[in-house]
Amino acid sequence: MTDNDFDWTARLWLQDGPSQLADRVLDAALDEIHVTRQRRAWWPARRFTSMGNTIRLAAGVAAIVLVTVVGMTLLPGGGPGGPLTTPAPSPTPMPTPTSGPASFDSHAPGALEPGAYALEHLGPFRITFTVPVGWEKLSAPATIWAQPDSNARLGFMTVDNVFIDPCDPGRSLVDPPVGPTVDDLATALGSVVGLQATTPADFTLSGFTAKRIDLTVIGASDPCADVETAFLRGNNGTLDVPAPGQHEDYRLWIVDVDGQRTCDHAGRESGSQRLAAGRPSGDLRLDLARSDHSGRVPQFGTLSRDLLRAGRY
Amino acid sequence: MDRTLIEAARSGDEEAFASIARGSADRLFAVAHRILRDVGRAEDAVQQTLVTAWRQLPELREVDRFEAWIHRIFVHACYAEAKRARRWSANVRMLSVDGPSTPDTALSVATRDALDRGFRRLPPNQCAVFVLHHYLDLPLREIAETLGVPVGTVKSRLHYATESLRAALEADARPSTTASRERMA
Repeated sequence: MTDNDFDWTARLWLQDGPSQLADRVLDAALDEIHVTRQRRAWWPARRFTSMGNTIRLAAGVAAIVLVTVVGMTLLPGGGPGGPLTTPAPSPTPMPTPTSGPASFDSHAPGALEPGAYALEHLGPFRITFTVPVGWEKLSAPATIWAQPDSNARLGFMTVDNVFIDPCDPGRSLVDPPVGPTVDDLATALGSVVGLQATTPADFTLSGFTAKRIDLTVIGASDPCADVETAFLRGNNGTLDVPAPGQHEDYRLWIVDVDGQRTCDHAGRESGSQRLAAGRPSGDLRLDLARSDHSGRVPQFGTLSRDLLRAGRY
Repeated sequence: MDRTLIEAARSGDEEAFASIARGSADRLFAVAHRILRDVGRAEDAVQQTLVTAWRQLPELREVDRFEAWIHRIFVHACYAEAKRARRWSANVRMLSVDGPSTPDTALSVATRDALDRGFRRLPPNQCAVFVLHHYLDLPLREIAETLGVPVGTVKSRLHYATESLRAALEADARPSTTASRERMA
């Protein structure tokens, strides 16, 4: 059989079969859509236009802080620190990993099987985390996952710089770029136009020193309504993070993973450090460790999913 | 696909999305059936695709890439269905009724059966590439973009799928050839 014969045979064979979806199936899908909330666009990848190597290198040099963001849409009447408006989750079993973490980067978008995952793409750093039932990887090309019921979203990135005004379609970045330390970024976040930042609070995440900052929109109306926004640029210039909108509360942990103090701290302590109390069965665990930690025992931080929902973490 | 509809659906317009769904559903189902070889699973894959697409549509930044974007969601939905099918393969399932099909006068029953059997032995990622290429006539580069894999990977998957199906056809042809020779002797 020649190639042409085979192609002809295969195509003819593939033509044979049903090609019309039953109405009931489409109706059922549309019914489900009617009760399914759309996600707000989050962390879309930016497209390179004329970014030269020099600029990319400069962006990479500045990428020495790690930021964890939780964006949470609060229902009307809520607010940062406001009442819990989503139902408490039922306890879900937290599996005990029996082997190494699965690669998060190569995981297809969609539901995550409960278990341990590793992020490898953030340069020299590796983040491992364990998810219970109910978390998903988003399709956006970034390390993001969500708990659909609460609309809480969580992602990791390295930060290159900060936009002056999130609404500005020209996307003007702070110039000179934000410096390399945690304090530099924390200070810069306080000057983003239209956003209210809390005073940076010292924090410890998995043994790494960190600053925690809450960001909300100033005023009662959304200044960037109907406009694509961005307030952080990261991952070596490949990622723009939209600014929080109305009824949204962003919580950022800016983690120092490059300072000497971090290495000493990680080396001295071992075992588990609980960062927030919560039911063990419903916890989202984040384990931050250097990928080149030279045999040091990584530390563990535990963030309660309940607390993520309530904005009290 | 109508840009206006996609933009409206992206902004939360259910009617606009329903129009898109009605316009895409048959095609997705036809492709899903070719990949999964099962009506029920193909229906599930299409449903899952539509719901996922609705939820994630606001994340689509370039409306012009809608087709590739929804194909990627769709192929992953097919993978998930195929995986579930393998997991449950030990269970007894009702035979599905495939519905009306185009009468196939040019291919023999034996050829169809051989291809069916060979195809069911392929891994889902090879099935997807084979169908996208031979049924939807997508160029390899477009398939690579849709699946998010290098073109070389697509070529490789298509090659292995083709070789496996050729082998299935040849294996099927061998006994009958022998038998006909015996009859002629």
